[in-house]
Amino acid sequence: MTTQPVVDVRGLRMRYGTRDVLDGIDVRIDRGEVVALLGPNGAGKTTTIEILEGFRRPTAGTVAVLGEDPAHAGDAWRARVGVVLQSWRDHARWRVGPLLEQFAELYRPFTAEGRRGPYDLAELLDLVGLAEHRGALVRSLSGGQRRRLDVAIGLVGRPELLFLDEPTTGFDPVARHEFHELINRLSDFDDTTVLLTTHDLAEAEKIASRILILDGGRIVADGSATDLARSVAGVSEISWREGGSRQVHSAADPVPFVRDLLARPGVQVTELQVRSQTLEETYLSMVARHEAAGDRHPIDQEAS
Amino acid sequence: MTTALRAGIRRGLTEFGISLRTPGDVLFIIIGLVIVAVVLWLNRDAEFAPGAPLGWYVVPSVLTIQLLFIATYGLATVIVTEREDGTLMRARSLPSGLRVYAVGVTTRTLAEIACTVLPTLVIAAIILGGDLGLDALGVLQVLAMLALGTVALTPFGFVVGTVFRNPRAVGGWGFLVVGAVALVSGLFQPLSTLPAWVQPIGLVLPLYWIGHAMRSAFLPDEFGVVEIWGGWHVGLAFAIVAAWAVVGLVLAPRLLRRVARRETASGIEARRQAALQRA
Repeated sequence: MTTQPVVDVRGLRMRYGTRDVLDGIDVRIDRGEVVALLGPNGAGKTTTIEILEGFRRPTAGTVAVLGEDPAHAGDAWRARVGVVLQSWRDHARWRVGPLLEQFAELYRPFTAEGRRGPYDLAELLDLVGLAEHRGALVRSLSGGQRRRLDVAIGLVGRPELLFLDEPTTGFDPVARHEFHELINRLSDFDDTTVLLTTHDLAEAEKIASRILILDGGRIVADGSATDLARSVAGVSEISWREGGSRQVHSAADPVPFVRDLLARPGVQVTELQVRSQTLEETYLSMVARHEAAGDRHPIDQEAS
Repeated sequence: MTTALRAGIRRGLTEFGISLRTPGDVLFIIIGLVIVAVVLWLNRDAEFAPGAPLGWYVVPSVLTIQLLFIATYGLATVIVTEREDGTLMRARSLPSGLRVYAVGVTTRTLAEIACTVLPTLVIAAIILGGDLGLDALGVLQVLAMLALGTVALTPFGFVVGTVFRNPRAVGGWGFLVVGAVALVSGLFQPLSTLPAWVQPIGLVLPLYWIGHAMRSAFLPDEFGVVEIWGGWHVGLAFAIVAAWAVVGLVLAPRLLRRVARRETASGIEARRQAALQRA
């Protein structure tokens, strides 16, 4: 069981009319991984997630999610997967508590032997920070609260695999921080596998154990934030104060530079900071590099 | 399966409870009842034929129109709206979600029909001085046809609701179509008095036959002369409506599944933007 991947995608293609949105994608995600899917708008992130959720059929390729083809999977499979889509306005007239209770009920018949059933309402509301809003009308919730309700609905059946499409849009910094803790807890304690898309690169760096960058219908990078930073010729920024003035220097490897700096006689160095490349910088240079590569082969672009 | 059924019924009742606490929805039901009361009051002394109050013809037509309105027009509006706001998509993301959704909207429709038809009968009984022209068998026949008629018409509400994409299209065109169907089915005036080319259309549709069975319960036997073949054919009426029910029950779930399958989150987002533009 443990060796079987949660998501196993091979040669995935999606074509709308004459446009290839996904152009041959291979991905394997194992249990307990938190994977962030990044990429510019129109790169095919949502399409990829919707195929894995079973809401769209791919043009070509094999897709196995929790060992089944999502396009043909039944209710028992559905009960093991949690879905948080990009935007939702449904059930505006319902109250938070009864809505979650109704959905929790649907998971009960599918609770497998030895697994815990759906969340208890109070526990779930506590988890997403909506404890005081149990009796509130859904339409009276703020944007961030509504989003947390969507996350709660995605979680209610204790899914083994959770899809989150831009989950933190509209969150204030505190809510965002709490959400990150929640995701960490889910993957650490419940072994939940999480696949999320986001435009917030700091968020991806913080919660994802692995990052996939999708661009032009292909995966152009796959690895941890540090792996990715290493693969582009990145530089670290070293700044310090010396004799009352601020100094800045860039270096690919900061260690020898800092050693020399501190070893210089008679110099008073204070406020020394070494900042390694952020995921944002890595991402920007990767997407730029990919686009430059695309420009060099205009014929390829025309043909596809 | 039983979980889906139970969850669906509970969902439908919750939705209906929400409707009862929504002023707009309640007002809609009340206005309908007030119109019925006014029409009956104005015609309280009019006779359809010597010894038979016009009310005996009007009440079965009113019941049939109410059935038509709630089971097709009302249901279609609900489905188009909930398709646009993502409720249908949400149902797809949950185990047994679509089945629970379908049972839910059907339950809600049944509750709405009960809450419209019963007050209508009470109002009619009061205005017509307690005499609705119904005997025990007649009451049974009316209830049976209301139940069968609901089964026959509800699937078509699903069909209309899944064919149209825009809630406003259902509001406009749906209203016209429902009115036209009621007219050609002899609900405003007897089918036998309508032009000859209209009559076959009315005979093929289930509405004439629902109304026919209702009228036969309310009206004395000899008034069958105004019906299309000059008499009551209650057995035939039940058979034709049952046939429509079977067609609908086979067709509706397939269509709902098909439409839900085509629905995607990005599509909902695109329509949300369009809805914001309209507002």
